[in-house]
Amino acid sequence: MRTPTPLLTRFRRSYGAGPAHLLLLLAGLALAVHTVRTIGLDALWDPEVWWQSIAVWFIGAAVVHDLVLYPTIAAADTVIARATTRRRAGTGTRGRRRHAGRRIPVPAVNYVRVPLMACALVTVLFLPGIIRHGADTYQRATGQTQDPFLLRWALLCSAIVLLGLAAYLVARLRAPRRTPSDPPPPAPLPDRRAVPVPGGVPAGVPAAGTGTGAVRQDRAPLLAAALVALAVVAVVLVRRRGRA
Amino acid sequence: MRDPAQDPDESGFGFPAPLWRAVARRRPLGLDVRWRSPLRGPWLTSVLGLVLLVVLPVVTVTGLLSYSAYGPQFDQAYPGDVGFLRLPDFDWPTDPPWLYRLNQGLHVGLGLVVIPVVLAKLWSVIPKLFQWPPARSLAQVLERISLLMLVGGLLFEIVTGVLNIQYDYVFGFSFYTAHYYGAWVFMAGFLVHVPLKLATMVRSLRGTSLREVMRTGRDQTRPETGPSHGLIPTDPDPPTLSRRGALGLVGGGSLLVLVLTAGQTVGGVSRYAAVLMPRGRQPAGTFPVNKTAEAAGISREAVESWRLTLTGGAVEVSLTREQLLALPQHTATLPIACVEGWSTTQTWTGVRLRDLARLAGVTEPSSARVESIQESGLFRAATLQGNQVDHADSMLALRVNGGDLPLDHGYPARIMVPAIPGVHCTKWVGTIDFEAG
Repeated sequence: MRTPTPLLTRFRRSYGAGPAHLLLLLAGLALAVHTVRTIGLDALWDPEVWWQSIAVWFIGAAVVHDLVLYPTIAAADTVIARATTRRRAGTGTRGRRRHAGRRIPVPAVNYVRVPLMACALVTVLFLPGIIRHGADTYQRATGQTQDPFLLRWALLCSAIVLLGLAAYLVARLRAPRRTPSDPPPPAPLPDRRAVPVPGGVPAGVPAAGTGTGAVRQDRAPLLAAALVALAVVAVVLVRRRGRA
Repeated sequence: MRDPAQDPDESGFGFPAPLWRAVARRRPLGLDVRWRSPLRGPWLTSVLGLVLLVVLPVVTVTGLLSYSAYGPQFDQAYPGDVGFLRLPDFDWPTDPPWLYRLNQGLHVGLGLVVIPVVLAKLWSVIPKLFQWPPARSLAQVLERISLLMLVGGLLFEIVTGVLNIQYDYVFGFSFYTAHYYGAWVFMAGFLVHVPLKLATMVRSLRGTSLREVMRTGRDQTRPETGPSHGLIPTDPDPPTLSRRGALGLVGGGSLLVLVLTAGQTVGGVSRYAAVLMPRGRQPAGTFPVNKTAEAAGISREAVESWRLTLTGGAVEVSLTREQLLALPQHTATLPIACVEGWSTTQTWTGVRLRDLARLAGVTEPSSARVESIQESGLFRAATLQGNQVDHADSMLALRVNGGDLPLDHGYPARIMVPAIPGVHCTKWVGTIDFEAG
């Protein structure tokens, strides 16, 4: 390895990276500045309707994603994860005997959040059609209205949620039953500060019910039923509106 | 290229050190976010980054090619006057006839399909956004600016593109201007980001085998080991999803978008799957339209006394639709491919453009200017290149699928040329001016 010259070392220390880094960054910035100069500063800003400015949408796209969209999704995901998992008490012989013969619980978390994420993606991506935004332009271009999209969207999202529910029920029915000799029901939620066990799960514990996400057996179907009910109500409402 | 994040003196501050140290001390309240997911780490980021490294250049280059396809040499690509911010001049080819359909199918299709990957990639690196201090040197300040160009540019392109293909112009500004220049700012960010991170990406990918990850279930999933690059959480929650599950989730999201959008380009049965896309629906008994006659201000009465005018030769030639139908007819199956990604392939019948040129008295036309009887609109006229006029399948179509053209599709006559942007297949043609070679 060649030793850097003192000059190079000093440059690195004061700039924070090598000269090639600086050159690359300057080239990139030059291209961006040239682009802005070509489009012209006037084109970036609409003095009459400020929020319809290119500059606002450019910065806004990043800011809205980082400070609105991301925290919202993260918070929603935390709520879903908390609602569908819990730390389980019940170690010892009594617990063991009580739970013998029952099926090992299946964590519901992914059966809820995956469909909901799919629905969120579909909703955000096709929002203009769903809420009939830009109806005039749409009609002039296609010769059609956006009317069918709302119902299609509601049906699609309901189907996705129902699919998640069906997958969850199948997973629960296929989960193995616990035998009295099995270790206590579902393995407690590991302390998140705990050092991971090398080699993963101890032998003899079926993978499906171990680790995290021991489901609130009593709550998961309720949650799913609520979602389905919501979907059905949405479809009915949309249908009514369509007929009106 | 060295990544400042992994410089040996990472703990140190660049010039002027007192400034960076002062910033570091003033950590805003509420910035102590605990990053919960045990899945975050350089490997996951690198896998997603690799996908984007392959896909985004395709989306970008097809976008630039589309600009060339519009014919900037005739000042009919938007935005105009882009200086050197475009590909060098070349004549857009006419073969294969599905070239523009493929180009836009890739541009719009991949651009949509990649959205879940973009979101996942941003999710995977979000701890870096809230890192404190945000910079320890001028090098890191410049990198942060380049990241704004990259991320802002990418999201801006996605948002404007997604709105445009659904005709929602809520943003108010010109889509062409915004989407084109936005792409150049994105490119500037991308061209900086890739060389800076390539070595880190390759090293991270080599560190863990994909096969190993694909064999690891949720309960065996552990935080990544190896250099953190500010991504591996120090105090994570237990996993609720394995890494393969996370990759499956992203891939599944992309697959869902593909199923819901590909039909507008591919057509056939798949069109029925594009249930939320404008061109997922076929107008009854016909095929999708880009602009209705009503919107163009064309009525049945207006085309009753229609005549086609051919100029460019010694004398002006005027033809009725009957006279055109009496000329030798040519039939070809050609796609209309819209810049918005949708396309539809139909069988067209009409008079070859080169026959019309000869009729006008121009034997070897170098170009042809086609004007619609439509009175206004950005695309009421278009200039065709020499190779486009001369192609054996280029025609002034009078009929489609054995019947007369519907009014919405350009009755009495429209241009059909292989591999050109749909809007240059001018509808309700009034005049064609052939330029002698």
